[in-house]
Amino acid sequence: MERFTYTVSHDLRSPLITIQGFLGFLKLDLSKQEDNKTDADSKKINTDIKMIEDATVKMDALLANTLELSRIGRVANPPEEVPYEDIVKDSLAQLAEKIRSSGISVLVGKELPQVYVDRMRIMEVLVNLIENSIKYIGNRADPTVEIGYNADKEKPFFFVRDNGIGIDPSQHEKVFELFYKLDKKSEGSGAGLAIVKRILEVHGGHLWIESEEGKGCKFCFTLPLTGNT
Amino acid sequence: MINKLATVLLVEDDETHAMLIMRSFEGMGVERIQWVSDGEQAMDYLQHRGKYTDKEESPHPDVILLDLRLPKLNGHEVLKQIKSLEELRAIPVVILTTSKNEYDIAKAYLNYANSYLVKPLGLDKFQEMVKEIEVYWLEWNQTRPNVRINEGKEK
Repeated sequence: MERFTYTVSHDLRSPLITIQGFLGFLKLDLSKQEDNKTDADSKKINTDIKMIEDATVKMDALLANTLELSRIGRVANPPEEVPYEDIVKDSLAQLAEKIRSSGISVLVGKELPQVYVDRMRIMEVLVNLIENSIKYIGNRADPTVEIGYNADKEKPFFFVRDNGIGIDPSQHEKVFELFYKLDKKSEGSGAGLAIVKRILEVHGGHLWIESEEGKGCKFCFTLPLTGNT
Repeated sequence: MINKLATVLLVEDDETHAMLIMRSFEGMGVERIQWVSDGEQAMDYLQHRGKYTDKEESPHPDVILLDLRLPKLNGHEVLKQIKSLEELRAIPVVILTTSKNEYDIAKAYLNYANSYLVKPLGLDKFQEMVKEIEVYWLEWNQTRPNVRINEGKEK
């Protein structure tokens, strides 16, 4: 909770500073006499307006994500026994257009188990992880995302693996922080992985990364299996 | 008198905040603002690595304005590294952040921040703050001169 309050106080204040700052510049730029305005002044006015607009959009996304995060665990669908494969299919159907336009190949592993979960929430997990892979796939000639299940180890786990740009080990914990973005210019508010982590925690599972910069990324997670609940 | 030759290293990941700060400095005539957008770039700049090897294009800053929530290396990590390096620790580091969190403030001073400022709302206050930074750190403050002091022989 303390961490949550910290993030909210810091990140939600940020667009307000931008809005108020550029409103001030806008007033200054507009106050120049019309006949003295140069092209550069008009350009500044357009920039001021765009900065204000962008900041309000950002603020809206931050608030929506904050609300979404607060709902996880508080508002939940009852868990159900469901083949993991069905959740994978639904997730891929939701992302069909994005996958097609990105040119990524998606491989789905065989022998996926039954899970006992909030189906919609776990679909949200997969959609977020696959979208994340698409976003950070880089310029690979053979961009690939693999969705699978590792049953061999003592502790079985699910995974979403890609051959994208990867994440340096120093960033593995940070990427799960709310609104943390490795690349500020990338799409989204940086809440996706925090939401994924929270959903898995509510299910009693956990999430970790196996990755090195330039060597692709593997998001691993555990979920309650049928018979274990 | 505005110190036009002074260099400010601005470490800020939010492009719009960087624009606000730079436009405010430029409005006062301070022209040498070097902007980097993450903690790793800040350390590369200060240690003349990567694209910052040219010391004329990437001059030693007179003051560093450091945000805390930064990608890659965060502001606390950058501050800690700066203050642990003999050749960098004398550069004044002013934390410039949206965080009023007591933990952030305490941690920054624990790591020898020279000042801690919270970005204000409203352009008037913002420009006033930038003006105070300029006056104090670039006009009044004396930076470390390039002389060696042998403390053992001083007495």
